[in-house]
Amino acid sequence: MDSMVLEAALESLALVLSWPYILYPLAGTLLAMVFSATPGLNSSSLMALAIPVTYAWDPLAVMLLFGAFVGGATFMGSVTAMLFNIPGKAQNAVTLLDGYPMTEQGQAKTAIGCAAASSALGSTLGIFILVALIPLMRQAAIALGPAEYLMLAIWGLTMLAALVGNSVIKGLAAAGMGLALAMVGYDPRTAEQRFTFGLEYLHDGLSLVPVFLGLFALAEVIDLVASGRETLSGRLRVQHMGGSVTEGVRSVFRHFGLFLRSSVIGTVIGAIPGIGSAVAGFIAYGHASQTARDRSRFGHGDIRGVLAPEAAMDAKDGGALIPTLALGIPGGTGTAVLLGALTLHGLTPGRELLTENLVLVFALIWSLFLSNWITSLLGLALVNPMARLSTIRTSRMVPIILAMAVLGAVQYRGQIADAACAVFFGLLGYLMKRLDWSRIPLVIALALAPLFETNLHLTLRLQELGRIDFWSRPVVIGLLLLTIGNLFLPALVGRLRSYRGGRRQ
Amino acid sequence: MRLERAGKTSIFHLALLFAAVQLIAAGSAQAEGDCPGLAGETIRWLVPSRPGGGYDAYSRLIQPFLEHRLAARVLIENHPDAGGVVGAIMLRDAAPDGRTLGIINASGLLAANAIEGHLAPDPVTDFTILGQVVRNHVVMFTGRDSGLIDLVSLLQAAQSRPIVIGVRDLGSTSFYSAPVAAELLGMDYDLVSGYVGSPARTLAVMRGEVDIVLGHFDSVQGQVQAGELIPLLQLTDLAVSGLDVPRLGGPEGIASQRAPLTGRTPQEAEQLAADLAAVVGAGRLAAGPPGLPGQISACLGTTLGAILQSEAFLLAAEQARLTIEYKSGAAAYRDLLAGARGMEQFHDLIRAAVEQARE
Repeated sequence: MDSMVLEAALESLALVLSWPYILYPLAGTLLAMVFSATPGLNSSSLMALAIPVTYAWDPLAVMLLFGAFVGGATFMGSVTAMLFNIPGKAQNAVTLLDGYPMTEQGQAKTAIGCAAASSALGSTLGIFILVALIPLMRQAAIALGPAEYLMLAIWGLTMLAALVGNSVIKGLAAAGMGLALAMVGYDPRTAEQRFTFGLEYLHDGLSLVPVFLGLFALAEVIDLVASGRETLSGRLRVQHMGGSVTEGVRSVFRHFGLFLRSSVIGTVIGAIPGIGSAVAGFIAYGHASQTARDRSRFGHGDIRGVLAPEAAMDAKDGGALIPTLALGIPGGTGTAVLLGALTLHGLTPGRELLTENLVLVFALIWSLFLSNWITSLLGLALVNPMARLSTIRTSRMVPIILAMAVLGAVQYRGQIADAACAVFFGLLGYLMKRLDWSRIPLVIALALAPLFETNLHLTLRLQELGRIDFWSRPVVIGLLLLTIGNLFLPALVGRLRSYRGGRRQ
Repeated sequence: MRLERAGKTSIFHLALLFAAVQLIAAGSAQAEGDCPGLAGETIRWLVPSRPGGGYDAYSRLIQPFLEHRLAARVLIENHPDAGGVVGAIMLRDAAPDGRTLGIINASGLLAANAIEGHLAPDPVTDFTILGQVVRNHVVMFTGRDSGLIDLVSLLQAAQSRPIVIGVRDLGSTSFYSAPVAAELLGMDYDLVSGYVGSPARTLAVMRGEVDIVLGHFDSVQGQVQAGELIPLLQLTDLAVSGLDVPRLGGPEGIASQRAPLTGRTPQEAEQLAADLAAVVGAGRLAAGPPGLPGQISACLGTTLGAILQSEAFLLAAEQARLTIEYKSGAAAYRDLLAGARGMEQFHDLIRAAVEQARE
């Protein structure tokens, strides 16, 4: 590492840990946690509120506070997803795919432990990658274009092959349904309406949050009532629950390769502006199931299904700072507001910030690092009370889950119609569950389709005009090989195993 | 840079922040705002672009000031699809009660209305205009590694091949201003549409996928200052502050100079450039749904005017490098009508561009 970078990192660390600067990341993390847990609020609204209050502060304090805002709002949303099947944000939906089945099996403590550890370690790895790329940040920020984004989406979509559940036909039909649902709304390129049936509610497409709340939370409420299960976890006392936090934390090290790969996926996707955490989580989830030897447990409580998306979604924060700091191009709402705060304090992203103000850049990075760890450690400290919630009788939990899901849908955008949307998808989700149709291909296709569609058009047009050569791009070729591997490797491995088995006999 | 250690002030800062955030988040329900009917309410502020672009930046700058003045909670919602048309439709169709407001791209909507069968709202009739935040200062840019250094080098390159222009999508300012500007420059071009949001277009031109992009100067000032983007041409007939590149319009403008190459007289070219400037200049308007009761619209218009002209706001805008050119609702509406008249000159060009995009 460049000695200037190392020197700045150490100088900044000393400042961050000194009194009273240490208060800023602590306070920022607490505020971000409170805001992200409050319906209708999020860390971006917190940042927007904080900007005018922090006008007169010195830039170091601002960096520390805003770094904590970015990092402090990540992990807690997954807890409601794992415990109650309620994804507060679209990105949390992926954690519930295996997190909630673990809760149903009395393994909530293991799931939360795993999520907390992979979340903290994933963000740390994302930050390491960010720091390592500081000298090359500009090149990294512009290295990937529509062709690579397209292949990333195709790679993610081919992972559906591993997630179709018991029936390939049903799985593919569910994926097709997801792709079709993603087309609802205006064509992003030509502005023509598709499948809107004259309903203005559908002009902007389907919002992921009410769809996911319906497919999972409301479907689960119906199933809980219909099945007559006594508690979410099937246990009446927390002592009767299996698993432990230690087991969850250990699982990250047991699957360390998967953790590393998922974190890299998250960091790379984070660096692409306009792509949400949900895409990072779903691609990492698909990758986890695709590369697992035994995939039968995915969707039924496989710890790897919690580990991979949590690591990816938290590593994304580091990646999102690459275009923000190098070029002043924000990756999403959070970094857009952060960028506004930087500009207000006279800090221009780019070469100057990355050389003359490197200490401040590291203050932001250290604060992000600390806040991620604080949230995860707090999450671990609260495991027992949180796990206890899964032992409360269903008759008491159902109205609470129902209210949280419907309120969550309405408060997300303030539209009553979103509640109706959630109810529709609740019924669909329940039907799919009863008829043994996996919902996973549907949600993954729905999350990845916009990335695919937009970049397919751009890639074809740029190729047609001779502005890019699709086949000469190394990242495209690498992703293409991975895609081919996704499609054909499982069949080849299966044949090889049966051939070996036949020879032994 | 020198970093001073904080002492007691840091604790004071944090206490202040906690208190302020608590107060603002609680909605200040008891406070009397400038518009009493809206105090304690939640107001949706619709933004027709993705986070990070100019519309978003202006909205987030206005948000805390508006919250303070109205004693209400203002929630920003981004609806970028279809060149921001979706966000505009949502604003048009909202209940006219002052609880849904937003910023509209009046120029883009004027262009979208020129497209047959398009459902974009008409900015002249479908909104209550509360005031102009800023004119649109559309500038043509290239990337620092493009090999183009100025307008002359661009026009030289255009002699040997079509210039590839990255644009957003139908209904966006870049979508209609690109073919019109290229026509006035006598430049053959190919459009690549689908770069939603200023960040996507900026990255595209930095990567060299496209030769040029058109965008609002405010959205890319940071990249221009950092040397990542090179401005080539201003599309307005007025000088943009802090920008020293040729202008398309005006008697000495490039459109007049290039008129013989496009088969027009200099006066015709100048008039067309002025029409384009009028459309572009229609600007970023703060608006509400149509039929906003007079009392509410007057109150919101006055409040917005007070905010946009206040010293604290202008200082914040200056620090954020955002230009503010406030005009009252009535004055902004007059400009809008002028833009609508100008747009009539470009219907054929825009339709041809739409056909190319939809092929």
